[in-house]
Amino acid sequence: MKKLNRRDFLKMGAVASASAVLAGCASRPEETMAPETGGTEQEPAVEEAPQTGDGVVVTYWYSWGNLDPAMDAIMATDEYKTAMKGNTLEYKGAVQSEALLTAVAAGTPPDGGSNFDYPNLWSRGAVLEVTDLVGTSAVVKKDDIAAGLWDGSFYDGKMIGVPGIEGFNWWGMNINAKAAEEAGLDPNNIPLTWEGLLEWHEALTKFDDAGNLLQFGLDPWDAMASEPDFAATSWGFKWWDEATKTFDLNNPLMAESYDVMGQFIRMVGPDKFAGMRQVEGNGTWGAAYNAGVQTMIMEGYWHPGETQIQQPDIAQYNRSTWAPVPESRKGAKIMATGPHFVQLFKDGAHPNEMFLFAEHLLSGAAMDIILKEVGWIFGRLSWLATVDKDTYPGLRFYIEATEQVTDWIVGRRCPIHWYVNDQSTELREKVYRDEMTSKEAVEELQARALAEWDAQGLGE
Amino acid sequence: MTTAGIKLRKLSRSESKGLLWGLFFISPWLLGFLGFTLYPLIASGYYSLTRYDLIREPVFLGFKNYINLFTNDPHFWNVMYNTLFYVGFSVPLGIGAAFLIATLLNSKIVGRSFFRGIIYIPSIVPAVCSAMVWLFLLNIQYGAINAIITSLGFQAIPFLSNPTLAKPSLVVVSMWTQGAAVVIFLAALQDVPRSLYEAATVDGANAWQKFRNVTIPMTTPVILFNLIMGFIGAFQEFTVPWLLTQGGPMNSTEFFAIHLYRNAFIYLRMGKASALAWIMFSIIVVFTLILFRTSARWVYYGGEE
Repeated sequence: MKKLNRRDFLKMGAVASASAVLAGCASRPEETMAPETGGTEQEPAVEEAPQTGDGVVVTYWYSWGNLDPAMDAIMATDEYKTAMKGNTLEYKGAVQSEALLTAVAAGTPPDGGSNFDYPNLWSRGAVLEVTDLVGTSAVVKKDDIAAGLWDGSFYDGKMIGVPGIEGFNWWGMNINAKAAEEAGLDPNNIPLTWEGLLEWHEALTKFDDAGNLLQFGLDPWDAMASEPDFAATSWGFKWWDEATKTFDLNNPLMAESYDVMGQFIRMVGPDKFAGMRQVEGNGTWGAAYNAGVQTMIMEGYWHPGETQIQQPDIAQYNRSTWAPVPESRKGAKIMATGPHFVQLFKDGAHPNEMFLFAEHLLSGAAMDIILKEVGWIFGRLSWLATVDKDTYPGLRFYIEATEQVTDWIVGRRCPIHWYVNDQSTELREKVYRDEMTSKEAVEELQARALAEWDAQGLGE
Repeated sequence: MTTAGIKLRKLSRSESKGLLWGLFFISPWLLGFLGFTLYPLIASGYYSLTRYDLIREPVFLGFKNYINLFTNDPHFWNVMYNTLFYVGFSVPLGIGAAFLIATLLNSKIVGRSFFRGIIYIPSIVPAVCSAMVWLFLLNIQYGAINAIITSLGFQAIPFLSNPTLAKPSLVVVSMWTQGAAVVIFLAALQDVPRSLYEAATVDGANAWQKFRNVTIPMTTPVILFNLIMGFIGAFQEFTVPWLLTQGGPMNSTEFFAIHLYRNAFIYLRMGKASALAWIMFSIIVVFTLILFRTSARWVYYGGEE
């Protein structure tokens, strides 16, 4: 065998590098164009998408890691194989948004994606409008999907993704009935106002002799309650008007929400709450509740199932009811919804094949698996009617709530929702740490939102 | 030769051939440098002059991103203060600690090799793992250190959850990973000529005087090196603070790199993030130049005439 000398090695290295660069510059095979246009920009001319059944590989990225066990089970079923018509799904879970954005910027996104920032991707023109595609579907039907979910699928009058995977009612107050009983409270009579809840919070919060926190009632800004949508709906105003694209954050009611919700933090201590969040932020959604340290939490339809799967010994004591409102709005039953989607990327190669899988996620076979493996439900009415409402403790409340809700919104609609959320988190912390008043905080919040909107060129 | 003052001459045929082969041989590195360093550098310079969100086409804004950062941004000066605080404390303290540890490890102590290994281990532990360890050491609710403190009947200390304590706590955490600096200091200390210590002993110097007048001057080039590398690393610190505090509480640990990341990938402000990157680059360059300029006064090179 010929011995490889240094010069040969360097030559081979150079040739390999040059080849790699050339290969990287080559166009992708099987490039097809999208069937419909979407977003804010004019799309290039539409070409005929390949007929399904060609046996292509369809790429699907999912933002979180929760779905992985369900996906394994779904892809092992005969129903999946039939639905995919000979195509193969390449699934990747727990994909960070940086990875997705880089792929989008490079023009090589996956065919479909879920649980990313839907309105943001849409408003910047990264994903396709699917109104016409869904219009041809025998599975994704308006009259079989909960109204809020269906309506929430549209932005600027266009459907921005195929609703599915999970999605139903948000914002229920979930309590640990055992902890409530131990504190002398009646878990069948949970207060529905902030004022009443504060009394429960005090009763459920325990310190040791040295003043260290052992257990607490409610972190009012934990999980779903953290977002400005929640405070606005609880106090009865809209911070973001989608039709006029205007903000109303500098609102006395927003300031009142900071003051009222801040009392829960002050009672326990801001440092102790921040410490809890640091651990929870690095764990899972609702970890403090699962650990039995937090005894009340504002979440949504996923809470009963997820808690059962993650921590059954806590889930057995879970009770769910309406999220609180101020005394002045007593009787209002607030909820939000927002579907998760399979969004089809503008530069994806196989939108039609991706759509087959998006449709399959609405099948009973797939949704049964997701309910069992992850604990999530989706508001497809014909399927929902088959679900045992007592599958998980507290699930019945979320399923039956639709009939009783009085104030309903579709959440997370503002394209700079997460920017506003971050600023709100920072400013309200300044309020409960007494570094500014709530009035100053909401004035500042409004100013920052307007500046960011302009800076991002979203108003143009 | 292309050095200043020397006239360029035409290369001979064999020299040209040799140059081409040379370029060909280093082409793997050259291509990597062009594609993954030079191009991003130039591109970020351009993007810093635009409004760019990774998805839509960039819109040219001139220096608006820079002007807005210095004049309108609600976070910029706080981020700058946080970063300078962190750099100002973590680098000198880290280098001081590393130098002292190296000095101890250079002395004749039992189990010296074992201790040298132990000191270096934190440097090879992935940052994510060490961040998780520190999180469960320092957390007010579940932290091991606070478990000891509370078991003694004292109040838990909010190391990472109080705006006043969070930055100093991160400085302490940063000092844990000084293994690389210790190894470099150790090599420098072993290189100090024994004859200098012997001469100092003959002159009647005590241990402190030998350390002050022999050890420190002879290792100043390495101190300069570690200082520069420390400054650059501390300005770019991201992983551990992000995992421990995510910039909180109340933005008290929002460092430059975290702010840059947040703008780039959460708010999709890639143009603003690029401007932040160039500002950070400029600050690092200025700091490095200042260190180099002042080094003539305090760094001793044995080979200098």
